[in-house]
Amino acid sequence: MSKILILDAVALINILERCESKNLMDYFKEIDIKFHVVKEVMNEFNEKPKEIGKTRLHEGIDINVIEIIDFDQENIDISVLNKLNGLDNGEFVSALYHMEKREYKLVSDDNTAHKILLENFKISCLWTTNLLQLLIDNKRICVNEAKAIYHEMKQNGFWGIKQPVFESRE
Amino acid sequence: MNNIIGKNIQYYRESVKFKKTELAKLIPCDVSLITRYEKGERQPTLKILLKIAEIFGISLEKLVTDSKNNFQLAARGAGKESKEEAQEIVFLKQIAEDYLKLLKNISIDTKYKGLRYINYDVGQLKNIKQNLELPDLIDYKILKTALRINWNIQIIEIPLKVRKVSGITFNLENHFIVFINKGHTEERKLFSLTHEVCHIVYHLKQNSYLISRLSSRHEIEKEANKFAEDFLIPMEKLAHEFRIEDLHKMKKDYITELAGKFNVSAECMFRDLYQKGIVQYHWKSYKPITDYNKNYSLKWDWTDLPYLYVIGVFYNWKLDKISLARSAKYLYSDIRTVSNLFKEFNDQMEKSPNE
Repeated sequence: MSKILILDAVALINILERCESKNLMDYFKEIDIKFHVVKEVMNEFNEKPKEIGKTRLHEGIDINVIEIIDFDQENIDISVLNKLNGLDNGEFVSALYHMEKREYKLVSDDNTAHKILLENFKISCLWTTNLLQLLIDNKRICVNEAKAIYHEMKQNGFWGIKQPVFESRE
Repeated sequence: MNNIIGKNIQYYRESVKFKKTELAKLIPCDVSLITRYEKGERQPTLKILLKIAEIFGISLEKLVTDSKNNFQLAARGAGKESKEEAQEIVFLKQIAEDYLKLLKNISIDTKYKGLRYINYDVGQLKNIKQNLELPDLIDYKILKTALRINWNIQIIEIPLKVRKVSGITFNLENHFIVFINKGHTEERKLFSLTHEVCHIVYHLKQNSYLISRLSSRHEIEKEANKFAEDFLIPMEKLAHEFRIEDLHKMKKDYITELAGKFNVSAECMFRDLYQKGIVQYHWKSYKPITDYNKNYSLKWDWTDLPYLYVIGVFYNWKLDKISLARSAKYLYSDIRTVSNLFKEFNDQMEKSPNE
């Protein structure tokens, strides 16, 4: 089983809400991927837009796929905290949690988070679109389906890396 | 032990006039723990840090960053602050600091470019108006634009929680940010902004702020009121509008009509006429018109923030200086709304790259 820590609410929204025709979570369940998020990211995710906007496509969080972590840390290393400036609370706590556990692959759709973690901690994050590639690699979807999902996600307000390149591993 | 966090907790607690017992009750935890945090004898857990940040309305970053950046602001001249005012000031100072930081990150100069005088003299008004490129008669919008363009003053108009406060001006390292109470009438806002101009030109020292309340009796507040009246109701213009044979007309309706010509409230017009000796009975005997709605809504969102602020957040995000989640916090909004907004900005930029 692979464990993936979703670093920010932006990625969580992209994974859960941007694809209307398919529930991506079902695919991830099939290939035994377990997602984790810290409570602070979940709080950010639950903040609803003020205007009546898009409906939530897949209401509710399936706790069999996404586990919410209530992380608390007694002895915080201040020098680490200073290197995380520019991140918001959810990303902040996620990054600290990852540094404590070191057992996750991180997913973020925020360029700043990618940049800060790579420059200050040499931690390389995945994008949501990399997860689609993971589904291709595990033969759950083909390249054309990934492209169609990505197109649909863009139509639904997906915001992340510029045009990704999906490749068949065969 | 490094005590950055402890000092920051103490700084923000004292800024919002909280006793240790009050903070302990809100967390909740034992009061002795607060003392130990502040002394650096114990490190708060992440959960407690997040709770403290939430109580003070600040980001976690502010609690863990070296407090050398948190210069203590001095309040001047406006009497003792209430706890509610102190809390509002901490909140507004955060917006002001964010505004300056966002613009600095994208190399926009926000240093004050206006005039400074030591003592108020009515003769200086002409010079101030000329420097601001203002006509004799002004309205709120004209003054706001002139202050931003000619003097580089950032003005933010949001409803203030303490309803009797009409304006608060911060001088942060010679950058001026003025908050005007959105809940007040257009006339009151014009008067308040002019009043704040007086504080900027004559009163505000570096790293200090002034809080202007309705009906304040403090000397510098009186001077700022006098300045605003002289600025908004120039004697020559008044002489032009007002004829001696109209003296018998000095009733409520006439004064209200006259006030409308100068974009001020009737109460302000009456006080000015009284001080100039045109009406003989004391202005307080004239039943004041309540020129602010005490029940105004306290709701506001990112659309109330200046366009420059919003664009500042967008460009900071675009240049990877802040995350989208942080952008949402800067805009007092949620990620979905901000994500859609930035998408719109981005689409516009792609459509017209030269603008």
